[in-house]
Amino acid sequence: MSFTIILFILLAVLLIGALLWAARPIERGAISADTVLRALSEEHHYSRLSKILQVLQPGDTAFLGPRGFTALRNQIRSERKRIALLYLDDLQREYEMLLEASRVIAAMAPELIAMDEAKRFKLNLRFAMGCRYLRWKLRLGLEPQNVFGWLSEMSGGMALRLELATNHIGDRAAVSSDYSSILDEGGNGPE
Amino acid sequence: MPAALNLSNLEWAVTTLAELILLVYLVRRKHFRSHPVFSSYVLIVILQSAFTALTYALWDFQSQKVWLMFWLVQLAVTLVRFAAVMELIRHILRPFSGVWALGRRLLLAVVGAVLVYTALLSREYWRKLPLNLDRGAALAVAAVIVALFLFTRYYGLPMENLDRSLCIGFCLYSCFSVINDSIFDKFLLSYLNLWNFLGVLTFLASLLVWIGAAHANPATVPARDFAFVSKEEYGKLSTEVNVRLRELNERLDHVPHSEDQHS
Repeated sequence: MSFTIILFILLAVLLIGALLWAARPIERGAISADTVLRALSEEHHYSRLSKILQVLQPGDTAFLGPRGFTALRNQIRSERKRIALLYLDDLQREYEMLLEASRVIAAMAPELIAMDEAKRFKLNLRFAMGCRYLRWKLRLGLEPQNVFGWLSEMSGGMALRLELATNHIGDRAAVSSDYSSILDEGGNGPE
Repeated sequence: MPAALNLSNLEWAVTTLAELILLVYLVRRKHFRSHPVFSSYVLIVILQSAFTALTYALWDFQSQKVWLMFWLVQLAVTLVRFAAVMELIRHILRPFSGVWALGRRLLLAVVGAVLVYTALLSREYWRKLPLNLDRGAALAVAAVIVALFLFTRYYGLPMENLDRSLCIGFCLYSCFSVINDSIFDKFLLSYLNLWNFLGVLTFLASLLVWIGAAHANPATVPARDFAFVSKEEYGKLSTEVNVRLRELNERLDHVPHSEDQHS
């Protein structure tokens, strides 16, 4: 059997597999605007970034060593590393929520951010990889400052895009509401 | 051979019966209103069966004339099948006006890429043109449906059960057609009877999926022009998200300064 025939058959089998995977019911279900709002109104983890960065500085606990508290210093560092990892989980969850929010907004007014969809997809991959990289750096006891800053920038970029999109939605909602009121006035005019 | 032919005839009869049952369900459940192209496709497939039976009765099964007529009708059916799939995609994505704008470009790109891929990889493309066209179209239909499922999954868009089943039926039938055509491409005449048999069998399987869906689901509600939220909710969403994001950005702006202070 020739190579091209095998390729065709393989592709068809792959498509069947992809269909079975993609046709599964969506576990998260259709997310509503209210859910997104509720999630957005919760307190954000970015606010704690400066504190996390501070406690990860080796200098923050360095004074304990020369004073004979080496065990305590190591314990504090290990605790802080654990907290930084938890913080990272929360940061990732927050980013995913923002992404989910952007999808909901895209389903409502996507022509405004359709051009950014591919970029957002790439951004998401980069963020996921960055989080993984940072986790390993923290576990290995390396300096994570730069990567934290980089991840925050990405989240900030996503937030800015969302802001732009929601501004457009707001404008559109305002325009359509003005238009409706003009129509209403026009309808009421002759009465 | 006669036993194989009898089995093929039986299969053909069962398939035609299934097509008729599906058509009845489409009419009785009023699905033909929401899916006119798909309903026309089922009708055309029934007419194709009748036409093919007539040509086989009038002329020699392996004559050039029968071969030409078979492929011309098959080409017409393939085009209508493609139109039916496009109707389904439109039906699923259209309520989300912007996603539809992005989705149709993406899915058209998928169709174009698959057709080029098929043309480049097919052996003796022009000599076996009908077979290659059939395979290319089947592969494009399968790829576009898988892309549609991935797309709707990514955006969490709802899909009616009937649309879902119709898509799955089309995709499975198309995938098995690609496999069948590819094996036929290699073994040609020695595989002819089995090729016919398997082709009809996979179509019968799709018909059963569609009959189940058409029977189980009532007539679909006409698609709404907009999805998820009302105008009031829009305003609420816009204001609250903007406030939250501005606050978030302001906080982020402070991070570099606090880092400078620490270092």
